[in-house]
Amino acid sequence: MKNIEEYIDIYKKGLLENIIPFWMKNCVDEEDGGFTFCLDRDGSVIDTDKGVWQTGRFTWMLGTLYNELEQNSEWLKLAKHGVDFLDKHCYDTDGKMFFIVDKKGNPVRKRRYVYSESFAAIAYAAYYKATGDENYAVKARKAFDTYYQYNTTPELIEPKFTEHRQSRGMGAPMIGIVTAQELRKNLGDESYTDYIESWITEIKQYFINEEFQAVMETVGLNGEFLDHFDGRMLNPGHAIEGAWFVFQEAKYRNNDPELIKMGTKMLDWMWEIGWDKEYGGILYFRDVKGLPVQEYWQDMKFWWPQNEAIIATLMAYELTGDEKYMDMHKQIHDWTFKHFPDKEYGEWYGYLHRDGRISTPLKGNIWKGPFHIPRMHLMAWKTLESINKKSL
Amino acid sequence: MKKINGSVAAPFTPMYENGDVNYDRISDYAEFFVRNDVDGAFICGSSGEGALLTKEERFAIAEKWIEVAAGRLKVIVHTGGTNLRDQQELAKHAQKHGAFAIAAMAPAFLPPRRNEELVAYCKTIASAAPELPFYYYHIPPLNNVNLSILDLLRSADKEIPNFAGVKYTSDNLYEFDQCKYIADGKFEMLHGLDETYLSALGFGYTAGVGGTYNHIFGVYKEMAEAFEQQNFELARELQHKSHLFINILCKFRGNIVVGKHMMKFMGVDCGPNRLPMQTITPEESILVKKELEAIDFFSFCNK
Repeated sequence: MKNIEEYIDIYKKGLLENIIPFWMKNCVDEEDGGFTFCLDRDGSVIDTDKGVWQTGRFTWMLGTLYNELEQNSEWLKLAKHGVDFLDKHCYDTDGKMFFIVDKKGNPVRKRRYVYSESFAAIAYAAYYKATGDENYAVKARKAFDTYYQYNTTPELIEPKFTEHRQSRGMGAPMIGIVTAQELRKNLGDESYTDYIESWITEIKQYFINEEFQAVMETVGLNGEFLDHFDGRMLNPGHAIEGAWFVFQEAKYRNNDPELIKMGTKMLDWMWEIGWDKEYGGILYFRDVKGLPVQEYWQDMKFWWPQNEAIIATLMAYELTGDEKYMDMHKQIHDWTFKHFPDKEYGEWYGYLHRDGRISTPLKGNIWKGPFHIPRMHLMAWKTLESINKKSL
Repeated sequence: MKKINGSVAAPFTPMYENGDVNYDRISDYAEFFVRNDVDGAFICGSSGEGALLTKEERFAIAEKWIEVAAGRLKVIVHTGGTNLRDQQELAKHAQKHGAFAIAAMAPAFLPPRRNEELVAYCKTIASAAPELPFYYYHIPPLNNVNLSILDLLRSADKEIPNFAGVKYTSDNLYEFDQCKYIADGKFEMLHGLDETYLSALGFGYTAGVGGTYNHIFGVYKEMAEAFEQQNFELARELQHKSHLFINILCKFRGNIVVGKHMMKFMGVDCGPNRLPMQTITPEESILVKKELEAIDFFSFCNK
């Protein structure tokens, strides 16, 4: 059994000697700006399109490393490379952002929803913190405002379904919380707590389902259970990610006991539902009634749910001191680090079969990029350090 | 008599959630003013909820402001209230601790009805701090005292040696402009209505005390520069920008309430209001921010 120092070492080295160097070496487009994230196993580009989510996320990551680890000028330079590309190529004339642009920066796809904006907001906020350049604080606020308005003004986003199946999803309040937390931290504006509070209330009110002991992913407009494929489908990784956003808020509010309770409830329930008792790891989708799931990747092991579970279990341990969470952390850590890292070319695979075999060897695409994995490494490292300090 | 000759902001009084005064926050506030090129702080006036504070709190707030301003900001202590004995103590205290000047509005309860009463009122306060300039704070929209300032100045010239001028917060520009002709222009008129800043510039005034200097001082600074360079079109645009901002203040219970709340957005959290003012709720706060985004507030607000 590894001790805390050994875990710290894994996260620290993994971040600084493996994950970040892999992306810095392979994804920077010096020619046309921005980053090409669609990479094969060895880091070669397999599609030159550029995801706007990942652009914001990587830029955020670089700014955050600069702000929270060390003032490495390479990181800052690349973060600038990121915000410049966002500014130059990722906005439509209506103020909304694109989802995919091509190598030259021409728009390829725009979506109804506004997650590009949330990731751009945190990127700008981190870059503002790093440089003090007020223009980026303004851009961060603006992107956040777009995110908020689109998610709270029903007329703005074309609904996914007709009036006969109106629904609300967990994603918007959840990503809202972490986005507001980032802006609060980096812009020094305490009033972002007001948004966080409203989104936490929304999750409590509509998605935490005591009857099923589950965090629902999609519910009716008033939180009613939709007894259909979509309404029954649970996304354990997503809910566990939401749990640590709530933990993060609990920490910010001097270990608020109500929020710790809410977060551990979300984690406990969804770990119970999502942990694969046969092969290990967190499964992608589950049905709240145990019925078959419609989406066919439901039993795969994606990289990100494992990352979120690593963070959530550690934070739960830090906040409660309950050894059960440290055991869960070791369990998910060991399974993840056994199956995902690519020992030959570095970085991690993203898509495994249920039993841990590789499904596709790629390192990056429109969804997978330098975000969940490095964020997890940084947070796990820092959380363990703070746990270590407390136990001394 | 020394003059203010600059732009003075009227700070809010920082408070904790339980309503106690947050004295520590005052030093952040002073840095914020210095950083944004404000020349002074007019403390415990309307924005500062002076009338809702105890005398002891006002003593402590004045001491704190004078200390943290450290000569970089001119601190004007507002003594106004209903009780003249307390006001004399506040004035004496301000002088003892090195305030730049004192000021007082007339009481809203049992207000002076004639010029001679107003003169006597001002004289009583001013004489308690004879070494400091005294400014009368004319704010009829709040205290409903709307006596002639021209008469007041004529009397003060004879009767109150340290009467230095008026913080004039009224849209009566007809009267405002004439004040500079009384007693060979010895009185310093401080324009106090940010909505008509450009008009004051037109009449040749440059010094002022503003509530919205807390938020958008750069707009007024730029407006004064544009006016100076005779770029009137730009100056008018800037006044309009200030109006759009003030419209939001009006929409959410005014500067004392929502203006105070907005300080949080700029990193100087001033906490809640004292009753009967009703603090902005978290739900309202989100609406306020939406309105501010719509006018691009964060691109021109104080930093």
